[in-house]
Amino acid sequence: MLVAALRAPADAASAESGGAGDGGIRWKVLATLGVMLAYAFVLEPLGFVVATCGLLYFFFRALEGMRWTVAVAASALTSVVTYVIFKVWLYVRLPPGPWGL
Amino acid sequence: MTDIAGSLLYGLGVALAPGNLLACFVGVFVGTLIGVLPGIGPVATMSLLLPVTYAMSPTASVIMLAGIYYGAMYGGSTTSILVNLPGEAASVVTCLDGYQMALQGRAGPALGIAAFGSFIAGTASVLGIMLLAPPLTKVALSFGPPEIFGLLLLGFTMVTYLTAGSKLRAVAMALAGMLLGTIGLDPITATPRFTYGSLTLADGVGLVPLIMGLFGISEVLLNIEKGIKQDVFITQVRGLWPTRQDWRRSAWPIARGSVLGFLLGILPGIGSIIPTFISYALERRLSRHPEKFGTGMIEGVAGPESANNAATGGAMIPLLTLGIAPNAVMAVLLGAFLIHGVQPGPLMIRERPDMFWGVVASMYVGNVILLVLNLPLIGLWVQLLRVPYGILFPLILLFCVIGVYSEAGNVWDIVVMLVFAVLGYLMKKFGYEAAPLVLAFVLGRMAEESIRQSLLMSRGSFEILLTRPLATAFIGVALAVMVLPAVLPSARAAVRMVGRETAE
Repeated sequence: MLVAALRAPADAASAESGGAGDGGIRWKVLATLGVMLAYAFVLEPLGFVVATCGLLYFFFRALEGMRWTVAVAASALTSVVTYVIFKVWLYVRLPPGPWGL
Repeated sequence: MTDIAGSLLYGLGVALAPGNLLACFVGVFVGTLIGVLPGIGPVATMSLLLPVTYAMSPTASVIMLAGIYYGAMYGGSTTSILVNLPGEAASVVTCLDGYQMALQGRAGPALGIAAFGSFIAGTASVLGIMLLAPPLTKVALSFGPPEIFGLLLLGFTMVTYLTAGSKLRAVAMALAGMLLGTIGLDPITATPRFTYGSLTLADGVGLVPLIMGLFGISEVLLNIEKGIKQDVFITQVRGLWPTRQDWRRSAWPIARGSVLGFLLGILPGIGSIIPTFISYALERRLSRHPEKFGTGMIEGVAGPESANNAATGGAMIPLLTLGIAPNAVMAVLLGAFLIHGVQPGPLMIRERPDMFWGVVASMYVGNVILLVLNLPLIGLWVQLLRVPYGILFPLILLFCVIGVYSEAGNVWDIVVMLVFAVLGYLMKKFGYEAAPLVLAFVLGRMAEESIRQSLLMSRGSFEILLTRPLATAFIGVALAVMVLPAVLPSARAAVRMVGRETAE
C-alpha cells in the first residue's frame, strides 16, 4: 500500500516536470525511510554511538557515494561528536548500549 | 507610562543576567543559522532543542527558544536574496525582488535593508507587546472557558479561510489535525481514546514527533528526491549600508510592514507567512510603479521582511496574555512553558513578572544582537550555503531523531515521527499544507477542553455560548469570516486577493 502510495505521487510529479524524476531517486526516499525505521529498533539494543554510526555510514556511502574509508571515518567522527555535544555537554538523554556508549 | 518604563528596566535586568544573555545569544545565533539553511525551519529546531532546555532555568529556556523564532526571520532573507530559495517559509516573497536586486549587483543594500527593516519592526513589535499586553491581561482575566472556546473557534476559521491554497484542503487538514488531537486520554474523564492499548498513544500523539515528521523529515525527503541545487551568488557582497535613496523608498514600507505584521500576528491562525504576502501586495498597490515589482524594487524587500519580524512579536501576545498558541511556533513555545511548570496566561504577569518582562525585554536585546551580529557575519552565512546538501541532510535527520527520542526516551516516538514524515511528504506532493493540521491539532485539544468545561458550567446547555457577550462576539466574528465572502462581493474580492497573492 505504502509503496503504491509513494509511487503514485512521484509519478504524478515526474509527469509534470516532463519525466525528470526516475526510479533511482525515489528509491533513495524509500531507503532513507526504511533505514531510519530500522534505526529506531536497533537504537536501544546497540546504543546511540554504534547505531548512529551505521545510520550515517548508510547515508554517506549509499546515498552520497563516498568512498567506504571516508564514509567510515566521517560517520564514526560525526556520531562521537554528536554524542559528546548532546549527552556530555547538553545532558540530553541518549540510549546507552551494552558498551556504555 | 512610568509603570511600563519601570517594568522594562526590571525586564532588562533579568534579560541581561549572564545566563539569560547567553541563552538569548545562542537562540538568535542558532535561529539565524537555521533560517539561512533551507529545509530546516524554526518549528523543527525549537522542538529539537526543547529537551536541551530541561537543564536550564525556565526564563532562559523561553528566551532561547523565542530567539530562534525571530532569529530565523532574519536568516531566511539572506538565502532568499542570494540563492533565490527561501531559507524559511516566511521569506518566500523576499525572493521576488531580493534576488533581482542581487542579480543587479545590489545584494548588499538588499541584505542591509532586510536586516534594518527586521530590526526596526522587531523593536517596534516589542514596544507593542509592552503597551498592549498588560491591559489585555486585565481583559483576559475575565475569560472563562466559553470565551476561550469562542476565540479558538475564531482561530480555526482564520487558519482555514486565510490559507494560501485551496480552502477545502485547508479545512480537511484542520479536521485531520483535530481528529489526531483526540487520540490519548480524554481530558475530563481520562478514558483512553483511539489508543489500541498502546502506551505511546495513551499520552496522545506527541507534538514534537508530529512537527519533526511533518516539517523536518518530509522536507529533507523532498530535497533528496529533487536533488537540491545550490547556486550561491558568487559575487562579492559589499556595501551593506543602503543609500539615502534606498532609505527614502523603504521608510514607509518598513513602517507599514511593522504595523501590519504586528496586528495580523496577534490574530490566531495567521502566523508569520501571510503578513509578508499582504505587505508585498500592499506595497505594490501603493507604489507609483507597480509594474516594476519583481524586477528588484527595494520596497518589495523592506515591507515583507519587516512584516514577518513584527508578526513574531504580535504572536507573543495571545500566548503571554491568554496561554493560547496562535501558530505552530507558539505551540512549541507553549510546550516549553508547561514543561518548566509555568502556565502562560493572564496570571503570569503577576505571578512570574521576572519571566514575563524578562522574555519581552530579551526580545529587545536579541534584536540588537541580531543587527550587530548579522551585518559582519553575512560572509559566514554565504559560506554556510556552500556546504553540500549530502552532508547537511544526514545531520538534519540525525538531529530530528535525537530531538524526538530524548523528549521521553521512547523509541516509538521515532516511529510516530516517521509515520508523519511519510504523511507530510505525501501532503507536500499533493499540495496540502501542514500548518492548518498542526495548529488544529494544538487548538483542538484546547477547544475540546474549553467547550466541555463550559458545558459542565452550564450543566449541558449550549446557551452559555450565547449569554456571555465576549464569547458570542468571538463566535459572531468567526461566523462572519466564514459567511461574508460568500455574501458580499467586496469581501469576496478581498479574500480572493489575499488568496491569489499568497498563491503566487
